[in-house]
Amino acid sequence: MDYKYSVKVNWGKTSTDQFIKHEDRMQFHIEGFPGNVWVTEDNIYGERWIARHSAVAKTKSQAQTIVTDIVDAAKDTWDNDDVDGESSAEKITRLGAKPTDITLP
Amino acid sequence: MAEYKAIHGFTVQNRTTDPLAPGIPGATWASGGNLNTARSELAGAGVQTAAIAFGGLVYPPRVGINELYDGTSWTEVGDMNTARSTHTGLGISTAALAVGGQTPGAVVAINESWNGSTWTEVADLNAVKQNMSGSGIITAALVFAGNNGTANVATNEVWNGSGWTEVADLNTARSDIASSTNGTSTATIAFGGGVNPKAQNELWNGTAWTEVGDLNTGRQNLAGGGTSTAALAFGGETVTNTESWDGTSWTEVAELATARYDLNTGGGGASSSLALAFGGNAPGGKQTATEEFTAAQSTDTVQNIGQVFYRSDTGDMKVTLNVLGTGAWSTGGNINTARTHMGQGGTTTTSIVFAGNAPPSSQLTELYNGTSWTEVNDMTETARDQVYGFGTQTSAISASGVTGSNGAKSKLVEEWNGTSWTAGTDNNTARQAGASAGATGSSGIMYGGNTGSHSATTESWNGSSWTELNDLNTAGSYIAGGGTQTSALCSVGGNRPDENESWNGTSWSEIAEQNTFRDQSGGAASGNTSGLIYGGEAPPYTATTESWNGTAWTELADLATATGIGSGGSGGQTGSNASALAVGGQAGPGARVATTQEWNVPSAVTNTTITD
Repeated sequence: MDYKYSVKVNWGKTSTDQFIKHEDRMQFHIEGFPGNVWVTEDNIYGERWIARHSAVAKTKSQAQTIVTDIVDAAKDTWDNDDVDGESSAEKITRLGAKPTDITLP
Repeated sequence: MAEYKAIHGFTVQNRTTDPLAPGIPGATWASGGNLNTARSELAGAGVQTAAIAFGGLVYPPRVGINELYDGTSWTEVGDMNTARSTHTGLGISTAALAVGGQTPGAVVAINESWNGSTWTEVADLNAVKQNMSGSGIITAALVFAGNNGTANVATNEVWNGSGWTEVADLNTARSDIASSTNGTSTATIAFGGGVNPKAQNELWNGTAWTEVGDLNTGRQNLAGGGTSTAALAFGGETVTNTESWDGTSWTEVAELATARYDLNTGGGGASSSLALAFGGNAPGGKQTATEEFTAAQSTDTVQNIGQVFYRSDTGDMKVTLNVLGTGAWSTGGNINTARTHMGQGGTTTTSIVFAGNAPPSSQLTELYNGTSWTEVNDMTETARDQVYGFGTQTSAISASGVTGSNGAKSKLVEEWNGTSWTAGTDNNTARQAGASAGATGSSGIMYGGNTGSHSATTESWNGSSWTELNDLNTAGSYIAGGGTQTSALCSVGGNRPDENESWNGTSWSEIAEQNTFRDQSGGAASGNTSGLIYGGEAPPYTATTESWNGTAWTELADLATATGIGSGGSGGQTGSNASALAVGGQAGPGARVATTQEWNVPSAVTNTTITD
């Protein structure tokens, strides 16, 4: 499957419209990633979704960089958020697991 | 005025939305309104069109924020008295409980009751816990599993509207689980959670927990909704997977758009066809996103293959089609005895093979359940191979063949009744290595083969006797075929390396040549417009697969191993160009194989825009 990459803030739902509609999900693959990066299937319906939202097109490399930068920053934040005497298990309980790398499809 | 259908022969619907795929397998997640405050480890209560989201972790701090969802947007309403996260929620949007969790200082047993406008502290749990789940309503609920701050627990407390009572523990202590949150205090399931493989599922019957079918994808910090017989599991660390529980097993259904974990415990929805996911963690940040899982309801228009419709909002003319994907062979279970030249019947998930050459010639019978082969009662007449065969697992025919030890051609017929073989009425012409077609054991044809020379003879079986019908145009043996008594294919083989013929119930007609000449291939067909040939000797052995669509042969994905499947009944299976089973054969002279390969072409019903 070929994909297109774009950036758009997920604005959710209004009384008349949805950011992602049920029929969108029936027509093309769409998946959200950190940094408001959206990966959409490269077909007519995916293209229409990008146009409908005026999403900013990115290359795969550009989109990956956005995601990686955010994940790296989240990792740094997690690494630097220590409490004296806290075990690693306790830290995970307190903060959740350390963020892991994401590779875009 | 004439109607459109009278002129064109079909109707065109005028619509502003696409028809929906039917049932839970056709359900999808779409956007809901965003939470006002991004947070994880929050709890919820209610259903897709009326829910509340309360508490959670904003990194930091833990909050008591409470938001009300009306099916479109979230509005801030009265905060909880105690800010906390990793608690659980129960009930509906106007009558809910917020139980346990973690405050900035400790794991707590605190319990608050929501009346639609304010939270009131009510009786605490007997023991502190967090990362648990619960089911029920404000007057009768259950809270189970979790973590007490130092260890996972299996404890289970029942709420009667005023106090908590300890009842039977789960079988496995675990935290970060989910449940059928709209179950009851006497019937719910608890699934997933922090004990590998994180797929455990337990059923509560009001008295005790029993292990039932595991999730397909193990995970923790997931969410759930529904009841003990119709539930959903979605999200978790860190996946988009959604699974539907039907009371017996889990099935993967539509995925969330955004992978996340630590999303809502509670508020997941009242059934497996309508659910709500909100908040949570994703790598890189807390989430505001809400997603709504919706299956087509009884009032919705569902897809009807072939229906043309006009989208008045976009100007598109669309049609609902069953779109076939790319076919591929996958590995099935091995037969118990490697051999070639078997008879075969049934489908890819309910197949039967019999006779064959191991060597020596065989009387073996094996049944396939889609996963593994089981040996059942042997044939009763002389062991033989290169037989003709057709039918099903419960009603099959084996005809003719050759006895390997002396090379004598046979016209013996045996009938399989699902349990054992009995002698049937002999066919007319003793022969071997032809092909056959028939969807049942009471209706089929056998054709071609070798009687000492290549044969063109066709015989038809009506359940009690054989009748000679019109011959093939070109005699041949080691041919492949398949189909039914009235619509079948005869493909390439010895003496006819490039000849293919179509049977219409009365006579054979020549059809297009395939791309790769061969004999001893495997074959499957549903009739004379949909078939498959695979493997064979080109020579040498070939792995190529070709699909027949009624007009032309097209090369598709190869078998994993170049294999001569062997003729003689190989076409008796109820296959097509979308579904077939390649069983046994030989990968080289004398090198018998036990492998099974399953041919499958995925299909999906889609609403497709008609373009120029």
